[in-house]
Amino acid sequence: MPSVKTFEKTNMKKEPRGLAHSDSLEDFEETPTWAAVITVLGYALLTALGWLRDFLRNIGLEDKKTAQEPNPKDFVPLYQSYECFYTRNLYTRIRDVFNQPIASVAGATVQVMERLSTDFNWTFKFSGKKLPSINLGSYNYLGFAENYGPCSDQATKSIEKYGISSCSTRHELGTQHYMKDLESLMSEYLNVEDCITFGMGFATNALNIPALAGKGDLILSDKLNHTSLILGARLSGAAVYTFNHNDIQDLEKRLRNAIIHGQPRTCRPWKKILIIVEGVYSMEGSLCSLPKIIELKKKYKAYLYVDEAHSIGAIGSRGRGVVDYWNVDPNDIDIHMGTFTKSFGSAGGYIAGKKSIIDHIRIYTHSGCYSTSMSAPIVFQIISALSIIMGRDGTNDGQKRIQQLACNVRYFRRQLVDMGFIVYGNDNSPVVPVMIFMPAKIAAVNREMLKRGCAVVTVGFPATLLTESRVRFCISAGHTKEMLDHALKAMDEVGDLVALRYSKRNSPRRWHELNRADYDKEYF
Amino acid sequence: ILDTYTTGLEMFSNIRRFFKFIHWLYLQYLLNTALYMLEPWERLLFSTLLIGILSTAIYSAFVFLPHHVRSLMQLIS
Repeated sequence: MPSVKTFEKTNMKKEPRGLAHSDSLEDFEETPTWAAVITVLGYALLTALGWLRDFLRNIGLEDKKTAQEPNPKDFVPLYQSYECFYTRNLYTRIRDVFNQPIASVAGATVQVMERLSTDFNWTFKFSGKKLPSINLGSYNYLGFAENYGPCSDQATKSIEKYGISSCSTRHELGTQHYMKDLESLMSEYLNVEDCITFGMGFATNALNIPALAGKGDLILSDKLNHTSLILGARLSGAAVYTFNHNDIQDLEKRLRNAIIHGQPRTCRPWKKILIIVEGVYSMEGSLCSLPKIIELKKKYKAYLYVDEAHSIGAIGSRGRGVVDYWNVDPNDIDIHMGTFTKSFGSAGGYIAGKKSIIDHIRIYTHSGCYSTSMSAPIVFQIISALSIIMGRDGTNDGQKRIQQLACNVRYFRRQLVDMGFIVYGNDNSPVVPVMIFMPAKIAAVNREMLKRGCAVVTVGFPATLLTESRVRFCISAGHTKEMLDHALKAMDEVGDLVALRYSKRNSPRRWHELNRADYDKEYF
Repeated sequence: ILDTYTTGLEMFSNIRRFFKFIHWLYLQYLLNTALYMLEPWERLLFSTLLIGILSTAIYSAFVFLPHHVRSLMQLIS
């Protein structure tokens, strides 16, 4: 298998457990100092000009275009001051690159609606033109986001049979037989005892962590965890400590300190300790080192919650997520959580694990009595996507998609790294963040890539750190080699125009200077 | 002595490349100082301030440095 060969080539230290992968595949190159200095100076200039503009607005030389705080006497202010300052003076200046409306299904290609603005992004007008572009921003990892094919046929037929909404919660009349089918299929896919599904992926985290942890418990979550996990942890009322991203020594130190010192004032032992990690982190593209965390968890008798939102279906030789990638026993992880939004082309989330835990969640989850259950077309889309991935429909389309994704990811990532860009994350993750540190370059990269026919997602503060803005590519199995070549050529031109080649480890090279044969022979 | 002249056509493309290079440099200046996302009057304000400070520094260097260096040499010797 080609994948094993490349891992052995780059594998410097082998895990004693005989795993095929090592940690040396993860890479976070350091920010070059001059880039950080220029970024901070740029933000300083923007802040100074923001103060000047706010002053002009306050004295009346310029009209105020944002929502005004009513400011009645003796009331607490409604808006937080720095957030509004940032939105008024920095975000609005480049607002045309965020939240771009689209006019087609967000598959491998997408039609982006063109927006024009005459007053510097305070108001927009649609020009009516639709720009066909390669979609590098959707989490469409296995290419199921299409409006034709067996999945959408099944979804439309189910609307005729079951209607659009169940109009009820799970505890009342909302549990239908197709949800039970989905849950048993999903638990078979993950090789666990039982599973429960919810209508919204964010709500799966936010409403179920309170059912698992409460006052007197400890939650240890990674610093870069998603907002839904942080919200769920806060709602639960448990104490939350964070550990540095993917840092096993830090996690062990905090575990030991927690067990030794106990609860903060009373020094009583914690009732339980829950470690929350994610399979693939969506802003860095890094994988968690699951075997080491499982070793720690067994040693200190803690519980483990793995959020596989981006990794289910996209990582692993059979597409079963990080559990499949690291080849660990699924029974070692107490709670598997994931979403259907990314790889299955649908919506919703699931929690899977031992039957006793799932039965407890079925009763005590907040969404059981407060949110509507999943609707029929969504469930049938997932069921048909799952049967394709598992090979139940008779073809090997599912395995082909998984291999196509792995190929695409390797091809794209290697070429970007060889061209001299700083790319974060694990070599196998389909999320490819390329660093652009300066705030003005965020807008420049997005606009130039759109001109060349690639719709990308560029992120800055507050989704990332202030000095670490990036452009995040999400590779899909629906992308063909020509599309990836087009995207790489566009990125090469944009990288030259905007000067994005920061890497010190790889020398900056143009796309035509790379040896085509090296990459083509790995791509089948 | 044989001088090699560039033909008229090559000179035209060289001039075009030169102007493209200047435009690229201007774009780098705009991007790195975050002027790319500012309105035209803000760009004018900042550029005027920058050119003012730089030209004052260069002028003072030209006028005062020789005298300073000479007095320093006299102090040392």
